[in-house]
Amino acid sequence: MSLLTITNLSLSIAGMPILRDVSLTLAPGEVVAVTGESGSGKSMTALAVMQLLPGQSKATGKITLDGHDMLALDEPALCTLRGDLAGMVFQEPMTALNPVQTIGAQVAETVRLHRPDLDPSTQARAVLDRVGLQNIPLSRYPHELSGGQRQRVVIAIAIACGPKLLIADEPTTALDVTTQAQILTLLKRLAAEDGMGLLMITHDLAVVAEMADRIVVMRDGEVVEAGDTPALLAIPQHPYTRALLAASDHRVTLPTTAEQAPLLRVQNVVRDYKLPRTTLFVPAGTHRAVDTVSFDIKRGERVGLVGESGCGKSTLTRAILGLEPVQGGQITLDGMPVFNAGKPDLSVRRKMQVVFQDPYGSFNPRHRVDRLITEPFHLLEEPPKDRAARIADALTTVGLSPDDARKYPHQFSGGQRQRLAIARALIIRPELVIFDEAVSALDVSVRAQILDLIADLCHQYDLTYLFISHDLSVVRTITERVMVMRQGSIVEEGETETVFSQPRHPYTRQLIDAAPTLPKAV
Amino acid sequence: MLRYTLKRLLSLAISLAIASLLIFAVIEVAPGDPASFMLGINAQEDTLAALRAELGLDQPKWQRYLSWVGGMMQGDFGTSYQYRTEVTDMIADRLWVSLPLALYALTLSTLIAFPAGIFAASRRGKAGDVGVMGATQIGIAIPNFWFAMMLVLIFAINLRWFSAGGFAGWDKGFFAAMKSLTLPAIALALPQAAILARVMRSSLLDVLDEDFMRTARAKGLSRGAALRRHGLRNAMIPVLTILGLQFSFLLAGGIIIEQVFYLPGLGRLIFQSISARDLIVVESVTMLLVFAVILVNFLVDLAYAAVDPRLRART
Repeated sequence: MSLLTITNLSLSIAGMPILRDVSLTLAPGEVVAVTGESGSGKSMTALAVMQLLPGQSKATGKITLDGHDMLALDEPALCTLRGDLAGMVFQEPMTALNPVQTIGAQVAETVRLHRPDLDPSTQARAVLDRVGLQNIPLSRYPHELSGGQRQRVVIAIAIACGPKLLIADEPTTALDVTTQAQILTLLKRLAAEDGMGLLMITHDLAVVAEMADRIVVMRDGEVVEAGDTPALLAIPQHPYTRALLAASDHRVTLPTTAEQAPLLRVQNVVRDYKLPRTTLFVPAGTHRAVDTVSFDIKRGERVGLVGESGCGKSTLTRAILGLEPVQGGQITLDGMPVFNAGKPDLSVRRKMQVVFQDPYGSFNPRHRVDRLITEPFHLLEEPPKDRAARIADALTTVGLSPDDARKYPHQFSGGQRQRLAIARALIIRPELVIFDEAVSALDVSVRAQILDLIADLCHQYDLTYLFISHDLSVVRTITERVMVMRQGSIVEEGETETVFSQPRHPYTRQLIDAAPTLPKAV
Repeated sequence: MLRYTLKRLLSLAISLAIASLLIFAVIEVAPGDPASFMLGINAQEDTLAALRAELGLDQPKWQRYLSWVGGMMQGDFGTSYQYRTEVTDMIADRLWVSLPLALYALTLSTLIAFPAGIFAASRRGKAGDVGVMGATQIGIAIPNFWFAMMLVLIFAINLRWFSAGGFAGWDKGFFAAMKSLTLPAIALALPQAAILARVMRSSLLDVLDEDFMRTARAKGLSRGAALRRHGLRNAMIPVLTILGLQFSFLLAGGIIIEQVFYLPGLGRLIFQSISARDLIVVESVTMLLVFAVILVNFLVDLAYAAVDPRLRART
């Protein structure tokens, strides 16, 4: 007897087909993962079960949840089921909670709605204790909690009435690896304790491998393959599943480089932030974001920097780029300080370029590609004469066509936009490129292509780069040396393979253990 | 919360001090001698000097500033050059008209705007939304003096429900006084309500797209309940800002409406005083209005903090 049965579910939104003939089942106590890349329809499948689809949606087929025909029920009946029979956890814990209500009130509200016989605040306290927030008073507001704690509150809201089904839509995508591991353990424990069915939506196959009893792989609104986790991962039947697995664990080969002189020197750098004043006549306090950090990057070297959010990697990046002054120490590129006499030195700045995480946010949508990728020209003494040739060359280098020069950024996919960002960084032939979470927002197959491109560029141009990421598996393949950063300091540094296989610092070991991994292919 | 309130109070005091200096300076720079204005162009020089001494105009500027500020703190705004009566009394009389009128209009505008904005937001893109938004567009476009005259024409002249103008006075009883303020209040409230309803709607629509509204629905709240319990309070910050601005505007900005309905309000007092070079009255009324605006901003700041706990924490 299954708890949830989806049969031939098709969905269109405003006439656009989103799902086609999706079928899946979930038994009580079972963990089923729905996985796929962005646009595969996995989140819409989850929302269809809750009947929380956006406006103008038309669903056909059948969704049976514990005997209820979800597509046939009217709105008041659905309201009594949502939160009671089925709870849902969302991706973004920072915005999933009402900022102006206490967490106690928000958990208690679910209880009040569905269990009038229980005392809401007693029950809220009990549920928050269960999700591991024993020390957090009910009177706290969401902004007073960390991301992981907020996600626990969202989970508490979802399980407050003991639902039979819990749907978790990318529950850990926005979290750091160590927090992710804790939340996954919590979800698994709750499902086991309550005999709750857990429907996990995630793009991360490694997370799926450790969590799910069964996996459903989706692409373009269709289920391409479904099966028991070990079997599906060991012997994937569908070519798409095989491609997805290969891309998740993508490896590139980097060319070897000869020992050379240091290019970038970071010496005892300290970066303090002023905290907001609390009292009028007392000087404001400071927060030390980067604490006496020193390292060198040699010419032709590929170096990784890993750490969790708030560890100071972004602050360090901005200091290296000369965007902000440092409070101590010195940063030199090719022997010249990047920040000179209170302002960044242009002759040094033109030797480095950066590629950011967000391929959507880092381009002005109203400019054409030729203008966007030639932005770094303003760093040069005079713009190059062969502008058109340079544009064509840069676009070809990153695998795009010179004809793309007159297009706007919205005409490109996310992966292509990241190629544009790389073209922009390379167009003035910088000596150092900084990749700041450059592949973190991309789907696995696109990520694999971009990693190939970076490796390829290393072969062609003898690129020197600093690759900043929270994703350990990516850093492992794309760098030769790695630094692990924690609370403003570099706690471990060494050859990438050595650091990953024999971590010396306990924090490094903790990071590596927390990162979900795919079982080794047989 | 206490620290937040104290900080706001401090900034209130600083704003008031700066405003009083500015007002005094501007009035000083303005040309024209009140004494010669009062006595006419044919006045003798020694009579003028005597009057200046009596009004205190011969004292050094800083001394006049200090005695002006000191007097205001004790509720003494000085003596009107023109009418030779206490400015405090003149302002008090007018304030008893303008303040109730502003509050009346603000209440009306809130009572119209909140339901209209919520209704429109909950029916985004549907007929109800389009209807309400069309009505507010008209409400903003119509000049309020024309609307006021239409009200007089319909309700005073044709239907004879209200008098066409004038103020009954509070000694005639609360309802008589409020009745004579009703048409002016409606005329003032409607354009404000139209603006407020639009702000309410767009602010609510922003909130409706937030993730926590989806969380609320996943809990089992209906669309309407989620909007009331989680949407409204989050949408209040822009609405409170506009409400604060509108109150300050209504207190003094009703001058055209006061003219149409022949009401003895603050707007008309300041208009008459400027024409008559009654500088002490102009100074005092301006200062009073500045005080009102700053006080309202202070209250709006407190309301922000009451609505949003994140603002309390940030101080």
